Amino acid sequence: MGSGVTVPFNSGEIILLAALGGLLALDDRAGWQSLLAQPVFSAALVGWILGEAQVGLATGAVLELVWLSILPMRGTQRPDPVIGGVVGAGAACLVAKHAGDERVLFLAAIGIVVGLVTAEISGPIGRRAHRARESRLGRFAAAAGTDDTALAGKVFRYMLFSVAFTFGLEALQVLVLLPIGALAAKQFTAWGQAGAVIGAERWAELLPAIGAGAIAHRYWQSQVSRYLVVSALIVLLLLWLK
Amino acid sequence: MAQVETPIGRWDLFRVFCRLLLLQGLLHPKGMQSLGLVNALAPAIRKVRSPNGKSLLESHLAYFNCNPNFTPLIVGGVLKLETERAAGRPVAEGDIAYFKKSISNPLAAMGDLLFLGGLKPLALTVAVVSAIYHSYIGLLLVVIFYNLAVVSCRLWGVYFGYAKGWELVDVFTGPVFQRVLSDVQTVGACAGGALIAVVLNGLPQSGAWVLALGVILMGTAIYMLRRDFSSSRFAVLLFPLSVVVALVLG
Repeated sequence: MGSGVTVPFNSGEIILLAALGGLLALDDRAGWQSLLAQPVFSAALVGWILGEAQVGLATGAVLELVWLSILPMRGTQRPDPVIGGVVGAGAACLVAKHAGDERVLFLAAIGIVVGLVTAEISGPIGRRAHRARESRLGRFAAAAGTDDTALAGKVFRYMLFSVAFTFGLEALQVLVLLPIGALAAKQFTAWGQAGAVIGAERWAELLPAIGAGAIAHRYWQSQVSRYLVVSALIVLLLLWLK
Repeated sequence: MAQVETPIGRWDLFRVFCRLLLLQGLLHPKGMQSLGLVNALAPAIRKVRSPNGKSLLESHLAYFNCNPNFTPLIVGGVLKLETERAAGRPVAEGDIAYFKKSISNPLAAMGDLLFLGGLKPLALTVAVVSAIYHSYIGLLLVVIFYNLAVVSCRLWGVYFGYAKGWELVDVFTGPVFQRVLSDVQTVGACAGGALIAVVLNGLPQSGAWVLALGVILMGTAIYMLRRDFSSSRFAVLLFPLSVVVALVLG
């Protein structure tokens, strides 16, 4: 192979993370939503797998805070949280691992922006693809005189199709987006002028305020808002005293 | 009242529970959870003799939707009614459809309030606080307790629904559920307040102006969320702005 751009990953890592993305998408879309597909957990998992726990944890925590206001309800135009968590944390952790970069907050900031952008790209793609899958499920019809065993078998085959589709779609998106995200992250970290590094780090530090705003917005008009205020004041006082 | 001799055993109900874990995989706009319901009923309903020789599963292909964590209650209830019908009790096919329709809407609303509006935000809030303090143990405990609550609710739902049948309607009209819901929301608000405090406490470490910017950003986020603007896109837009400002200021 000739001298090209050094890529901050190997194919084994990309395939492993693609499989992880597929499994997490199954949990998020078909399973009981165990929370593992949420960025705070998926990014931590990615960080742990790649041996960059701090970067994964920081990326996931901020992504979760930004998306805290978006509930996984049908019809919401939400970004894809699985892609955001896996690709965002994956890109940051791969650069940390292969380039030996130890600037945790800066790498997390890059991971967060890669995660946010790829999740925004993947959201509409996933919605279109899953609409096609659901449309196929909607065409299910039982033939006249079908007995319960035949009907159950047919539904089970639809189930297998649906599971395979969901896994494959998400894994494919990770396979495409993760190398692009990792290369973009590597380019930005290599360019990393001092001002840009500070700007990215301050941005990552400030983003949790969006999550705090989302929580205040969620509870403010409910009957439990007084608990929110009292609890915030008590914890703030304890933290300042500490 | 004489007990109905049931052909459905505990193991059959457990197989129904296992299939219910993938209920959402067959979700589609036309029938919503109908295919998932048929898939879940299949292992147990085969043991019930159809009173008129027609397919029992086919009648469940009609539209059905509920909160996935409360669907097992209805599935258990449906199996109970199908068993009673097969045993010659006065239960018509229309009664079972009416049972599903009448109980699914209130249970869907309660389930969404409890799980999507209460338990899940609470779990995620605690998880984020754990991640901020680099606590893997905290994250692990959140996953364990949340899944214990969700999975045991589903498992209990199948058996409880099967034991109660029609009586399910009475169980969920009492004040107990309202109290549980209120408690979960109160704890969620307390955890939310704690997270806001942790976030605000972390900002001044980079200077007083970062704290001031954070408070402004928090207010802007509330304003934008009230107008249904995506917090995600807002965050992306801030990135180049923040880098350019930092480059200009040197």
